[in-house]
Amino acid sequence: MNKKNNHAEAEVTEEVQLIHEKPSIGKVLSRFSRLGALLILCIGISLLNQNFLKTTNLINVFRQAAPQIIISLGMTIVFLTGGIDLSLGSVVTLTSVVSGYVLTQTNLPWWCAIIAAVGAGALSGFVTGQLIAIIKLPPAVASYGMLWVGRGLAFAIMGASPFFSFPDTFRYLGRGYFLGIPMPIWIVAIIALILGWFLKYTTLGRSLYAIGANPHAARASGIKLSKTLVSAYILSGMLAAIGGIILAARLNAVDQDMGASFLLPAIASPVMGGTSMAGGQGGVAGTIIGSLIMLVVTNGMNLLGINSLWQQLVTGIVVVLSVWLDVIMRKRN
Amino acid sequence: MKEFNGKQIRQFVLEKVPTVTWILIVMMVYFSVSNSNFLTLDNAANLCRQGAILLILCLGVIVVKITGGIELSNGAVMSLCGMVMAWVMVNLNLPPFLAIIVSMIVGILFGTLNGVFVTFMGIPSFVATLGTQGIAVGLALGMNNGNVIGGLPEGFSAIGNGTLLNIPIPLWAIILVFVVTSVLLNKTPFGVYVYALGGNEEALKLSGKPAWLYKVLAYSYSGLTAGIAACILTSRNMAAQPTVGLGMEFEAFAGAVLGGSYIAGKGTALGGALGGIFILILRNGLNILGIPTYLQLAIFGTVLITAIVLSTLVERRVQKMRDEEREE
Amino acid sequence: MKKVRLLSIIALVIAFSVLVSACQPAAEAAPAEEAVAEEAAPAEEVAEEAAPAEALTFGLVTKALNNPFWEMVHEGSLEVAEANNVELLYLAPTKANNLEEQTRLVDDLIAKKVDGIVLVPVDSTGIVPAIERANAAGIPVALANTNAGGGEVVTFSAVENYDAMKMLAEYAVETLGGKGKVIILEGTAGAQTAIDRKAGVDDTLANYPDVEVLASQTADFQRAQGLTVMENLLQAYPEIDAVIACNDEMALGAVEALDAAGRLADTMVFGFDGNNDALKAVSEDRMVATCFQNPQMQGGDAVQALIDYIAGKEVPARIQTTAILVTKDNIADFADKIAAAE
Repeated sequence: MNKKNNHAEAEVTEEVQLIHEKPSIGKVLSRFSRLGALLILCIGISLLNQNFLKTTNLINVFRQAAPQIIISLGMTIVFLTGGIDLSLGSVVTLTSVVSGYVLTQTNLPWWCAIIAAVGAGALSGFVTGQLIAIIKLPPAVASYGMLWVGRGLAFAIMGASPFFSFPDTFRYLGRGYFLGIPMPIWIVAIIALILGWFLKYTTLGRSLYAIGANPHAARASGIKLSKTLVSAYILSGMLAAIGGIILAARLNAVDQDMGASFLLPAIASPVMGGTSMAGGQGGVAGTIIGSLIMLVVTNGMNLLGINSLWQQLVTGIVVVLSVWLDVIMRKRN
Repeated sequence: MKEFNGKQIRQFVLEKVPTVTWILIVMMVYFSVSNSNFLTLDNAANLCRQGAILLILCLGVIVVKITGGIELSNGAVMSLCGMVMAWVMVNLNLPPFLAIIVSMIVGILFGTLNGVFVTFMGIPSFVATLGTQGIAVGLALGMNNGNVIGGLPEGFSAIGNGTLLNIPIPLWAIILVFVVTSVLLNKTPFGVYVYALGGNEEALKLSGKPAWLYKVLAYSYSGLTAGIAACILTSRNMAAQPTVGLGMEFEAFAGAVLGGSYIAGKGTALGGALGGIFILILRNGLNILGIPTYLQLAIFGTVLITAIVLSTLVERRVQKMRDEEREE
Repeated sequence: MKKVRLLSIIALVIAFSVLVSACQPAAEAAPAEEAVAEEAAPAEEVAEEAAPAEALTFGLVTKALNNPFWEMVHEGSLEVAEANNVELLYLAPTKANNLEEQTRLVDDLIAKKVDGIVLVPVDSTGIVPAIERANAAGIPVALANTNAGGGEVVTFSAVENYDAMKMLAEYAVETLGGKGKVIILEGTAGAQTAIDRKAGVDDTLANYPDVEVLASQTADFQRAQGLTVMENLLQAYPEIDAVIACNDEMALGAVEALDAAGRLADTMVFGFDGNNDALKAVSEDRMVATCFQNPQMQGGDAVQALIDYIAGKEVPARIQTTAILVTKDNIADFADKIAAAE
């Protein structure tokens, strides 16, 4: 595997640096297992179909992956605290509906739509966080309730007819190019860098890991548990909102179902990328790789002309196998 | 028990009956007062026919939830079971009762698959059941090119629509699954281990008992309930559609949560059934009141989260009462 | 403690037994039930006689809320209903195109004892038992847009999907000049309209050997899916002359993908339905043609048929809605709808 992927090593070291813990050979290997899986997948697909490795297709994969990566990063933050946010899919729906509402039903400029959407995401995350921190509901339960509230609000705001036809300035976020690279990829890159820095160097970022790894120790060391928890959910809500905005901008329309399909990949991607659902472990780079694995599989199947009816079957198997691989690597270490 | 004193009543009200019962009663009173068509025999008949599917799924999910796992595959597995049983009836001319057995076997197989993923492969239950969901949906879609299987034998319609001793068969199915689940959880070693798995899995492992076996069995049982629910669903529609059950896992999950099993090692069959009934009646009542669908979801979400918060607060109060008693 | 648990189980059993007695259909009931049935029967007759005088309540059940098409069916139905002083309840599955949920909605409307149901079946086969239950309860059912395989219905108001799609496909081949590379975006696997429209396209294209079908994939009738599927197909096929989508939502998704890739000028997009924003896209040259199937009229006709049926008038078993091919040539006729989109 080492020799095969020479060119990947530069990336690997970068990946490792982004991670919170100090790199050790075991950890590099375990990280490598995921990147290796991704690369083997890529090599396999490109052997079967030459179109895969073309720059345009790779950019296409990345651009498609953008909303999913951002939403998965939101989930990663929550996973770090040992929680889970089942409402992220419906937050995506809600926030894109809110931005659609501002864009088409009011005369406010386009950036107001973004502020409104991110605000709605933050608010939803705030409520989820409060339910977990103050009422002490289990995260799965609290966010599950919020899933229905968010979905319900999206339906109620929209009535029964989807919003569409947004101004070009707004759509630029989804389909424009800057320096020859699509905007969604820029947004992912910026968010990944900021988030990577945030998790590694800021007090709040570190305390997210701390309360996930051992809440009692974290409290003893002076971390405010509930405040940290709430901010984790606010952050994840805001990230989901950004995902929703990109989605709405790419699609030039919003409907009441558009976010639902993101929940499951958003859960699977961080886990595939090595973020532990138990908390305290994982990071930005892994989640990006996890998301890419899932997207490359879908893209590859489309390029290979596999009947879309069978695609979910393949995705299911890939999710199980790659998480299994991760479990094995973790045990080895 | 003959002499009730205040404390006993309070204990009964708060502790012994799942909190969701009281919210359920309030809700039912509201719906009955608001619309005369809610509390009718027809609607009750309607409810127990359409509710069987959700209730049976809830009873399976609650077992998995007690072990501390999460089950998200049963909607898809139910669809697949329906497709397989319809296929064997149409293409192999199997009689309905054999098709039912086939459906249950498929359900158990996929449940066991979940169990194997979770125990032997160490995959978190969330991800494992998601994977199984994908596999089941893929198979259900692929096996007949995404098309519906219709033209089922006439007699098969009895399962969803017929009666036995004047009781609709779906209701028999609910009672049967409910009794079996209660007995399994309360009277058998299986139940003891299921609660132990949720309470303290490590301790169970250290005691040398085959913890993995019971965990796999818990998932298999949930698969079995999906297989049973599939029979009713397919019979009610007299056709099998590959994606018919998708999304059902979320409603079943909500039922299990409301039934009081969001803490590993806790929960009862009664709670699971009541949680399912709650969701069912809420949706039904809103439809009967004639509230537009796009507003229904917002109401549904708010009521759901209120119910969850209320039952948590009550549970905490009960805990406090217990602590006080202990101090006395 | 055991006693209490026993008590609550007993309570549940009692509750169920109440349900049990409720669950018996009046027809095959025990003697005790017959009394109830007898009591109920005259009451029903009275209600039927008095019905035209009182305000009627109809239920409308469509397939989903995430496609503006169904809202247009709702609008058309509502217009006719309001003009005739009929109250119209609008329900749709929250999970788009979900048969199980739609069955529940129909059952709930039966329990509510509405006077009539306008139904757009998610699936032609699977909805039959629900229609039969409505028949058994004496509630007339009118179908709009999608047919059902059985049960007694008052009427079926729709375009002929197969013929309309053939018309569209013929036009597409004509604009292509009889040859070219084509991609077909299919509807939700298993859905009746998806099957009919796909057959319409396939049968037409089979007559033109010079038209090459590069790929035929499902995009679930959804815009987001249309976008993703098209983005991927764009990578696989450097040259695409036309996209024939089996509904407008998918067509518009494909338009977004083509536009973002800068290939909209080289590729013609054809849709189906005549949604407002698709009409707008035709007027802006972003789509070449769509097939307007007049959803408002489909819904409105079905409601009118129910009203007539209850009033004892003759109702045709099939109300054919005329499908109109919308191209740049006749787009001016739809100016009001395009204005509504803005």
